[in-house]
Amino acid sequence: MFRHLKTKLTLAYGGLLGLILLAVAGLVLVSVARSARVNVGAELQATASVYERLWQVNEAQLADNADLMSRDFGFREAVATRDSETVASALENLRNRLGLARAFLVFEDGSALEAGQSRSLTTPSEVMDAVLADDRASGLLAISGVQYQAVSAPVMAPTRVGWVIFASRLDTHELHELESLSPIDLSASIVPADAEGDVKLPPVPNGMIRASTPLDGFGALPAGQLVLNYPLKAAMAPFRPLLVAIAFLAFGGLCVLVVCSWFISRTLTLPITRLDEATRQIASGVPVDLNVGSVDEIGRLAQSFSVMAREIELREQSILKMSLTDTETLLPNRRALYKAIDHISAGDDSMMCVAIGIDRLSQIMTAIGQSATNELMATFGARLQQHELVGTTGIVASDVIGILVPVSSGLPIVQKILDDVSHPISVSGELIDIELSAGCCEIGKYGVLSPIDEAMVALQQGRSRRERVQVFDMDIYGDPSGTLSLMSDMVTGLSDGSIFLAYQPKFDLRRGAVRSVEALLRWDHPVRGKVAPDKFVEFAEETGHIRPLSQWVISRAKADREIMAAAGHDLKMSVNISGRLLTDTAFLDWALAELDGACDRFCFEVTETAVIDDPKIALANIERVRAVGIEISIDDYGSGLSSLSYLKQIPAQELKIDKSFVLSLKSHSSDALLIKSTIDLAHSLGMTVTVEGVETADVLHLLQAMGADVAQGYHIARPMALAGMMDFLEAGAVPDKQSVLGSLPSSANRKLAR
Amino acid sequence: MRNLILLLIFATLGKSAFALELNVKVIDSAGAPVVNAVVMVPAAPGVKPPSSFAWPSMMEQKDIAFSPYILVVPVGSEVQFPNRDRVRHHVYSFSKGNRFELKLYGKDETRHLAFKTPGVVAVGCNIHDEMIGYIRVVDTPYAAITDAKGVARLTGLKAAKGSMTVWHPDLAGGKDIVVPYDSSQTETVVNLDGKTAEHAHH
Repeated sequence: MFRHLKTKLTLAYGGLLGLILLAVAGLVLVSVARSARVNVGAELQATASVYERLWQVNEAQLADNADLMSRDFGFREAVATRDSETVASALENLRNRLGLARAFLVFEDGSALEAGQSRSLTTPSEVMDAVLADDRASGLLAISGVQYQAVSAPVMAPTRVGWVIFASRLDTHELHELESLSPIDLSASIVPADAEGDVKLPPVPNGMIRASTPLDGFGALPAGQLVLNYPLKAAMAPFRPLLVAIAFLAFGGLCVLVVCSWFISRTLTLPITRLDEATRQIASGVPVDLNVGSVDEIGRLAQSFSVMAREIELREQSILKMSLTDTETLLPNRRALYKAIDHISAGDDSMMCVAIGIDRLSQIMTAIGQSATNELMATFGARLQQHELVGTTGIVASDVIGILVPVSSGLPIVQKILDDVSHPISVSGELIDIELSAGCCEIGKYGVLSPIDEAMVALQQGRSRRERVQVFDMDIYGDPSGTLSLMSDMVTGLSDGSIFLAYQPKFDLRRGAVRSVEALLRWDHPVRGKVAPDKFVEFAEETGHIRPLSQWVISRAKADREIMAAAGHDLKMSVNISGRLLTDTAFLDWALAELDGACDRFCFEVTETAVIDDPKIALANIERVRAVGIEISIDDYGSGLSSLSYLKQIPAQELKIDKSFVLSLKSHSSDALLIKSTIDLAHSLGMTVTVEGVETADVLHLLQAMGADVAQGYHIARPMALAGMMDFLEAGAVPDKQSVLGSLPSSANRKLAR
Repeated sequence: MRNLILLLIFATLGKSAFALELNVKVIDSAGAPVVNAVVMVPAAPGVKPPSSFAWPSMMEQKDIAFSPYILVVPVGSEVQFPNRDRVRHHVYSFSKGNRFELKLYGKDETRHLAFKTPGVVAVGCNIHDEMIGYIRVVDTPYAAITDAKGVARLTGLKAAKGSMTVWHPDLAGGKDIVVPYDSSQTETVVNLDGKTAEHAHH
């Protein structure tokens, strides 16, 4: 909830204490307000009592005056004799003298006279009832809707002849007098009772407080209430300074509390904040000396953190060192070399990465063991490190150490280094001779692989060329990264015709005729140009595309063979079958079904190595193929690991001798002997022999003399697309044996084909 | 002031050879005898009231009070107002037809007046408000005041039946009550306003 402990503490302490403070202040406020209200209420009640007393005094005064008048002999005489004019004028006289509002004389019979008026009035029955019930009635009396304080007194002459009624006005003036009497600034009003005798007080106005005093009615007449309203604000005015002081104290106290809490929290949390910052710095790898400036728990924690941070730093350095060291030889490793290469800046001289390998180290290791070999490598590495021309070193393979040399130094420097370090190495008291090779590459020149890998490839290239120092040969290496896109290209190639089948005639030397053709995959890549079949077949094998590719080859070869057969050239079709597919039973099921009915017109060419992986299944499948009449041919015999055992096991009808034996064939050479004996061997095993790579007439004659059955090669014909093949067959489908055998150079062959 | 709401009048007719005698008992609503009620029977035409009754035509001022409280006098008779107190009195009345004023007079002084109008004369003292007395001026010889037992005795009546008038100062409005009397009846119950009457028989 809170991002900072400081805030949390401030809020917790300040908030809690502040709440208490506010509660106390609130309580004080409420009680002060209540007491103010009570005080004002009491004051109001006092005022009301004053008014009540005033009322009584007034009443007594009125009564005295009425009584005096009623006892005046002349007045009594005038009343008793019903001298209306005299009575009215006497009333008027007294009314003026006493400052009364109204003065009446009510006769026993209910008629009445008012001061100054000679006209006789009728006394309201309630007034009559009131005086009849009590001669000296007094109280609140409404006359024509105006409220009066009235008293009555009987006129005895000597028996009662009527009543004097004096009424004094309870008007604003009177009430204002009352208001001015009061020490507080109140507003007074009289609320008369309604007909039922109930006094309905208006609601207390907002911000006012009220006190009321009941007033008696005149006789049995409804009573009323004196209502005093007092503004609360005025009532509270004397308390305001106190309230303001309390509020100020509360607010000020709260502020002080918050500030103090914040300071305390800050003091408490500052070391923690520093610790937090420091740990963050440690996390981001910045070395930190933690000193939070306190000796309490947090200070000790900080010290522990410091120790921990230093140890982490040391450990990190050791880990870093370990990650750059080869654990076996304790030499800098490949990563160290990479790091050195990475640190070569653009402005520096171009550098060369040189991979120096100890030749045949695996044989040495077999002889002396792993740990001695490690010792050997360690010594060799140390030797390289100590060499004045060598800067950075790094063991990049178990038998290879990479070094960095300026390009400007050139290859002679590399030669010199090799010479300087190639003297025998003493391991456990034994001197071991070492031979060194080096592969070099200029860093960043090709960028096909990492510089180390390029140097390693160069080392391999040099070893295969038996060169002691070899510079990375891009052309030989090719472009392995390009093979990745081959996969999709191949699918496209199959549909757009850039992958197609070429056919190379197989010339039957005994019959002097082309009796069969070999279907060969060709790919005219729209961008890459001609792609070597070996390359993409191998790729297809590795990516699992060999099966659909082979299916396509079989279907296409079948269709083309039928086209040729329809033109009168019923040739046997040889198709190369990958060794992997020989164990693929599903593929063979498909192939046998596809070739059903024409099996005897097909030959599957397989290599010896095809049966090495899983001989049992491969041989069984070969038997299946043979059983349906498809011929089996052992291809490229002599190029791989030829095994007499397999030769015996594979039930082939044809043996194809690899062109590497044939290309440079001369009579009486060792190759000639090998071919001759192979031909004999094949014949004795019941196989016909086909020789590939026949490029000259001489070779052809030689092979024919050796007993070869079929020849294949440029001297006969190059591989041709279907159309070319058809032309070739049309031109000399059955050439004269002698003319073929006699002079069949490739150029003449072309002529013949026309 | 005692407020009499209801009067019950018991009339007893005595028999004599020459004249009839009527005893009337006046009680209030509570059954208590009413003292100082005036009972009158109107005289037959031609019968004149006497010059005076059996009691003196005198109203004394004694102990700051009129004595008697009620005085019945025949019309035209002269009434004495002797002052027996040591203080002076100012006796007056504003009663219609019988107004008078006897200004301050002292001890053992007497004033006298003749009242020419039948009716009630309320007599007061201007100095002493509490002093009040009544003079009933009648024009009949048959009038009496109830005694402490509430009984008034009228004698010499000529008629066996007729109407009689009863008055008391405490009656509302000072009005007379007129009730019939009959020799055959021994009790008469009269409502205040005289409109209904119940008769009790022996």
